[in-house]
Amino acid sequence: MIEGWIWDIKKYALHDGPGIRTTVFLKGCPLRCLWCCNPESQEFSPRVFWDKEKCLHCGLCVETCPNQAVVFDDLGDRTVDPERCEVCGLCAEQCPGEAALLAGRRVTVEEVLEEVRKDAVYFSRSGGGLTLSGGEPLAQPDFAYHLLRAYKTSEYGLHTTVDTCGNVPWSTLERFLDHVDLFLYDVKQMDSEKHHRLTGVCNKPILENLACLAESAKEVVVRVPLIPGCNDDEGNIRRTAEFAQNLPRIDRLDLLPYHRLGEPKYRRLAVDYPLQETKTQPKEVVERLKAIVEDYGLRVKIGG
Amino acid sequence: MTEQTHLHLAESPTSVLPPHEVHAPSAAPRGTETGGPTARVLLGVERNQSARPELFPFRALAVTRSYRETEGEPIVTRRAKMLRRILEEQPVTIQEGELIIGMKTLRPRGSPIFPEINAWVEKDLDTIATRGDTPFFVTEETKRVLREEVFPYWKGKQIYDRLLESVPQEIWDADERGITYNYFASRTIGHITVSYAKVLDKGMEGIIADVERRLTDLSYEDPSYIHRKQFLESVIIACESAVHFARRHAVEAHRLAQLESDPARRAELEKTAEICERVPALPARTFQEALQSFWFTQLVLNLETDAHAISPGRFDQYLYPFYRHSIDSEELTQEHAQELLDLLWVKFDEITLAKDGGESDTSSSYPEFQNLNIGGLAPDGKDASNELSFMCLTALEHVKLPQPQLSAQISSKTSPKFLLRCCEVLRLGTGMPALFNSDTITLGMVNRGKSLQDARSGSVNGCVSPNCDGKDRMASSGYFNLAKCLELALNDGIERLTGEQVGPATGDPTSFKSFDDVIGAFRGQVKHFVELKIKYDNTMRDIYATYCPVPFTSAVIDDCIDNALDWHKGGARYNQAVISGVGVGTVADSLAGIKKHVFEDGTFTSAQMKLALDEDYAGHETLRQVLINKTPHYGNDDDYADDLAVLTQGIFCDEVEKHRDIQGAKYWVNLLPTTAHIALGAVTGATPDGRFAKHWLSEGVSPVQGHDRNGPTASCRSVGKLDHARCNGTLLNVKINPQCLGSLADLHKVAALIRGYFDQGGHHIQFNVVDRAVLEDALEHPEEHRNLLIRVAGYSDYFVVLGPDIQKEILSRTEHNL
Repeated sequence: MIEGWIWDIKKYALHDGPGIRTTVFLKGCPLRCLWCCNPESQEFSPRVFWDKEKCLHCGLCVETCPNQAVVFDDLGDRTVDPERCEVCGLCAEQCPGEAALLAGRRVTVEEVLEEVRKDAVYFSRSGGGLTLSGGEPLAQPDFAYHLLRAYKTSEYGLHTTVDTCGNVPWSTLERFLDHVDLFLYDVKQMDSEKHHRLTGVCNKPILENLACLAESAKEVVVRVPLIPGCNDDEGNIRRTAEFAQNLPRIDRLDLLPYHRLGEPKYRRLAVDYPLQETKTQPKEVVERLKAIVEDYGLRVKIGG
Repeated sequence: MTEQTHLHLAESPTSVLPPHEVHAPSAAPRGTETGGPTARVLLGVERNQSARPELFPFRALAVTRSYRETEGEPIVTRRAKMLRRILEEQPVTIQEGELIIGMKTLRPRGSPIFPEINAWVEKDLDTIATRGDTPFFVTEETKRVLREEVFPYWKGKQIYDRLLESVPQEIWDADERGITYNYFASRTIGHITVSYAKVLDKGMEGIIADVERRLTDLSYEDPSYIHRKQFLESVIIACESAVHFARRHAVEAHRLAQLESDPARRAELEKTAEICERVPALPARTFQEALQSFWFTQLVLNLETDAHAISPGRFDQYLYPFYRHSIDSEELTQEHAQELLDLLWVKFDEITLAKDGGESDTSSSYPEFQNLNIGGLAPDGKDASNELSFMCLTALEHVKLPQPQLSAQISSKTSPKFLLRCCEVLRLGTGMPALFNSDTITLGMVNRGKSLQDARSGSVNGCVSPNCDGKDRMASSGYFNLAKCLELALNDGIERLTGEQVGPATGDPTSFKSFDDVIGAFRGQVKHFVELKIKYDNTMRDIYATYCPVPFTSAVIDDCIDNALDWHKGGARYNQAVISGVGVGTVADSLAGIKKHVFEDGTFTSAQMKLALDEDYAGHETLRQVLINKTPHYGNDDDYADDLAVLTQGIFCDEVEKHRDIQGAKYWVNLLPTTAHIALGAVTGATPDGRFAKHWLSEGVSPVQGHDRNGPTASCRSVGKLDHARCNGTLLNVKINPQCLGSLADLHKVAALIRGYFDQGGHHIQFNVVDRAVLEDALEHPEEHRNLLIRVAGYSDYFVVLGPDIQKEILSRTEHNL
């Protein structure tokens, strides 16, 4: 029984590969991108979201917590003692108003497949299938591998996609080649030092892996999240496009405009959103960058 | 030149519209460079959109005069003479730029009055112009003539009077408490799709010849000889009246041609006069003749009775031969054919019908459910879509009006191109075309006793109800509140809002030992009220059969002439009776809450549950949130809750299908609410899905608003688990963000969603493609969104004219984003 941590399964996913897809979001990521829109996905272990607005003050969480970690103060504000909390998720399980929500659950490959299988009819009608995203799906290599293989070899297995940051050993990536039809491969910044500042890691293994993958994978689409002031300058985009252009068999580079949809999640995790001041870029900026990339002979889709 | 009424209205009934409503040159150019709508089409659209719905008295006067003169004659004869009088006195109006002519009353979106049925207009006459839902303007002069010349005659003579004599109080009690909502009280039995093909192919003269043959075949030994003879003779009168009506239009067109200075328009009017001289008396030859003949048929049906849902059915099938002929013989260009079609679309949209206050609540709309089908299967099982099917989509694109309700039938044989084009038109956000699964329609109709060929040539009538084109009597008789039955089952038959014993005592819920006891009690309530509903329906069918023959409708529905039997008496080839269940989703989620929390997890006791419902969740918010957030819900592809929806449908179908009507027709279920989920919800106490008392119910077979959190594929999978072929129609509304239809690839994905749903046997799906922000803005600034069309139930209407509750309910539906 292979098990892994996931934090969501999204159906009717329209932009994580061809056709209608079910995207399974695995937990844990080796990067800490400043703009990460799924902060609950970063750790391998579960996190508890807390949405004060939804709290009914029913006290069930206080009653339920086996470690007496949850306390309400005189003002009715809830605090959790980090020393005591083991993130068991019982409080979230009980919370009637969904003020506390657990992000992350341990599941078996079979459990995930049972959910994925439900939309098989739509996959076959649309040429869709299963996408693994994260966090970084390949950061749980065994779970991800067995999930993809089991899906791909089942009677209803169709197209598979992996959405990766590429920051894993090549030997890990290599293991997936047979069972992945499409890699959506993020390239965030060509300057390694800047990359380190923005994501916590340098970009050398990422770019090296991309070069190898271009040689051996069935299909690779490069994706660049456009973060204002971080990587959306013409210079970086040109370098990225030039790099992709020089790789064999890569003909598409998608640009993902910045959005702030993840910001409320930071609040609910009681974490500061790192890009407080950053604003979404105007549509014309994205269009201009698209034209630049197209000059390198690459096809570009905005929004991935 | 025509028989004038004694009215002194602002405009003479036979004049063209006053000049201030005319903005375009009379003979508009045919086709534009872009292939968009022509100027005269746009003129018609603008005319309809700026028209104020108004009540007109012409029909009421004619009916009253006729009934006065025919007292003592057989009822069929009286009804035929009534129609003749209506069609003689009906104002003849030819509007600027029109090529297809004929109106239901003096002006677009006006409504006639049907005093022989019900007195509601008399009661509402002073308030109808200012009521919240679907107001109709009415002049003081109209009020005066109605009060002086019409209403006094009808005291004690209306269908409604017969109903008061025959329907027992317990049925009214159930109706008042919102357990049932009964049709047939304020309007005639509806849901009519006639054999337009018969009119186009044979003409009225051909039909009259059939009747005459049948008359000579009548046997004196037949115990019903005299009734049959009188019926057949009434059919002849009705057909002749329709011909006379058309020829009055020929005269008027000719008159206007004489006055016309523009030679192009003069030629058009002369041609129109010739066409109206010929059809519907004789078979149509050209596309324009066929469209005109079709339209006269539609008008006469609309004037014979106030039946709702007089639906054109398989329009692209019976008109195609005429289109093909006109194009092949080069009598017509494709562009001009499109213009004629567009102009007919404008005519459909002119049709409205004033409904009484109660019915406005359950069908909050001006549109009259003229459901026009395209695509689907041919009788031999081949794909039936043709050039005209595509042109009907273009007509919708050109006019963007709420009527006709365009429905595309999609079968396993439908081409990807046709489906994709439908999805492309969905982008307009009009909620049309609605998509129907021909394979499920066929399967269901065969199950209901129709031949395979007739089933394949069937169409969707009204909102979503299949019927056999021109061969059927399929009328749903109103709504049945499943959620209210659950309320009573959970309270020993006592209505929560009043504390009164309303249903049978099916047990104190706190004494229930298992979930099966809950189901048993629910079944007991459903059984009781279905029996009550059928008692009403059968009484009313008898009353209409006795007092309201429909000779014209009978003339154009197959086998009425052969059987020498009126349509209301069961003369059609097929007869079935249908009851519409409301609140499947609400019941399924409620049952899931009880099953899980009372009988499985013990989260709370049935006494706690009962108390919370009694107190409408006041002080029980935690329990309510558990029901909302900690319970499996129908619409998320979770068998736990979906099985309970299937069970709910099964119980309702089982109880309904036990019954037959007075003509021996079997009863069937459909699952659609129109807007009754609002009205019936308003009298239903709190339910264990976390719904407060008086709040709306779930809509059609759609999941409870906001309870489907897993996207449209999961939602469609859940709904696909119901037995759609067993229902005479199910309705699924899906609200999606316009971004979901942005690119060609997205269109393919929506097409795949539709195919996927139909692969599971789903019957119908419709989309509201609109931004939440736009709807919110329309609530704030209705004046800026006058033309915002929205899918309500099985039809579209302008969002800003809907009642406030239905507006809020539409906003509450889950919007599926990217």
